[in-house]
Amino acid sequence: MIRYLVVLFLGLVSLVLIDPNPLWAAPLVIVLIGFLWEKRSVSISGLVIFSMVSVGHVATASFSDLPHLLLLTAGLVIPIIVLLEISLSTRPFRLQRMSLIPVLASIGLVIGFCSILFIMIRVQRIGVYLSSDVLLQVFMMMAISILLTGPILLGSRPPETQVTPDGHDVEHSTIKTNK
Amino acid sequence: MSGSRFTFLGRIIASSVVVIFVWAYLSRNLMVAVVGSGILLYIAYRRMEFHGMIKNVNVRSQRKVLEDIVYKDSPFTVKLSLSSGEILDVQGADPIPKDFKLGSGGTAFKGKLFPGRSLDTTYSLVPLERGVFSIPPLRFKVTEGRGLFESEIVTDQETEIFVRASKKDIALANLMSKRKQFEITGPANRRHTRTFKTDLKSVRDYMPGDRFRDIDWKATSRLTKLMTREFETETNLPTMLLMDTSFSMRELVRKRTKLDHAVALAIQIAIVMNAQNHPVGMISFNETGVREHIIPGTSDVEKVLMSLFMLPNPIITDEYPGIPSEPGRLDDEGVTGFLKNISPFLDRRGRTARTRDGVTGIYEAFREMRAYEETGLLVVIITDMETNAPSLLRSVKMAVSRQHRVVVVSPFSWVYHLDRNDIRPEVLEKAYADHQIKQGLSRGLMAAGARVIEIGPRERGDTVLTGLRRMSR
Repeated sequence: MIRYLVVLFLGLVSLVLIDPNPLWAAPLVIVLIGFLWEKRSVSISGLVIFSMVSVGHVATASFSDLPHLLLLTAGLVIPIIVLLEISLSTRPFRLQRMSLIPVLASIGLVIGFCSILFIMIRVQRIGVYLSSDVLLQVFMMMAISILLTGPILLGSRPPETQVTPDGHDVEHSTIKTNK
Repeated sequence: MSGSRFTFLGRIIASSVVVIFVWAYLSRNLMVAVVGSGILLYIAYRRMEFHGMIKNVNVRSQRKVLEDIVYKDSPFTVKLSLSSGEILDVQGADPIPKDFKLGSGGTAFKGKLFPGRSLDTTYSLVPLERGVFSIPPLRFKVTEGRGLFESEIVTDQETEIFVRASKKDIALANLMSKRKQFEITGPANRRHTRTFKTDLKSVRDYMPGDRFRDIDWKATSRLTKLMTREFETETNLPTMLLMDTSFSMRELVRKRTKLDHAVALAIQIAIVMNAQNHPVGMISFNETGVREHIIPGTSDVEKVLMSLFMLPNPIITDEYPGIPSEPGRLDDEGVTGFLKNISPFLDRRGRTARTRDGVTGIYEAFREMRAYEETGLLVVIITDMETNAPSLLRSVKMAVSRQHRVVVVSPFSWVYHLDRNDIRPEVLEKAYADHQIKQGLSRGLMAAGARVIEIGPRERGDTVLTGLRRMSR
């Protein structure tokens, strides 16, 4: 039930924050279909389309207008990450199977990034450039994310797993011939 | 274990983030970039968590062969169990070793590991060859809880399987041991040789010193004087099997080697001789030395059989069949001559040899026999006569001079290897040339006093045992 509530919440947020036209919340129907069919790929496709098309429709977000940005983050980004976790959770979905820590950690980190940019915008010279150009803000946001997560995602740190071969044995007793 | 990598789903989501970022840049929308960053951070955190989890998790693997004894061509069951203290998604397949085929069931496994519950799979394999084999280490994939990443885990231990000769061969040998009768005559002056009293020969007057149990009580009561029974004495003939395990014998063609055939014959000879109370021993030798030596009478036939089962595994080499020492293998005559004369001395494992024979396996086998055995043995050499042929001749001469009765059982390579559908003139020419060489050798061996029994791939132990019976008389 929780996942349908999250979709409903996102739909309402879409109507309030993005556009009163319900068409912008249409990708969420794909997410719902994915839930009904228990198809992860369908839910994630819907979520990606929603993130690109519907969230992209909010044109006014900028670090110059921090309260608005925070409101959008709380209303859109956090539910989207929660919905991503729900979509990826093992089938059939159970609330207990959701792991909140990665969700909370990524939300916290996103807020941290926003704060970095928010502080940067207050620095005299850089701030002038940053606040004047949204494209630069987008670029900075992407750059910080990629710089911080790149080594984790692209690195191939070999973890050492203990594998206990427990009973690789073949017992051969004395020879038996077919008499 | 290798590092984790993205699954298909993980790649799709990572690609989606790239698309979201590009979209954010093109549409100059900070909010889309924030969403993209959020998803990216979520994936990164998931990966860190997965690394941490597989670093600490302890996966236990248990691969067990359920049968105590594994025979060639008979299926045996393998049970594979995986367990872990963590919830893990695992997927993999137990590798099927070379020279084995899947009998029933499946080697693949896929599922979730829960603490206290193991993931089991059972399948049966059919060994196609005799020998000691091993199932390679188990490799399986562990998938992250959300299916974004996977990692491969490899267990570091192999499972050894000792495959004995086929049940058919052993059953045939046992059947033959009930049918075949051997009457061995002549001296066998060995320590381990026993003399048996079997058939009643005559009844004579009692003489002081006669054993109490030999007194014929019926005759004594009838004639009212002590009478003693006399028996025919039979001597056991210690038999020594000399198994040639050189490369030519181990060459695998059409799922069988000459050595496999030799093992089947040797099993039959050993069981039949043992059933007749003739002690059986074995020496296995290769190109340069003796592998194993079991003195007749010092151990039971089961040890000999076990050693026969453990003879080296089959091999596959190029340019086979054919007698390898023939010209044409190396173009330069000087090089050929040098290698022919010098190379044996290079493979002496630190020991000095005075003659060329001294570095050959067959000569070493007879040298060991001279050192540890006494004279008058029945020596059965099973060899294709392709390796160290001159040494074989000289060794047989030496054995005959020591009053051993020598039988050379020789499979001819071309009969085993020729394909009826692929007979070309040049192949036939080579086969004929090899046959001529072999005939020459056989004549030399017979002149030296040995009996040569030529065998083909369909030959069973009967032929050899008939030859041995004639020999014993």
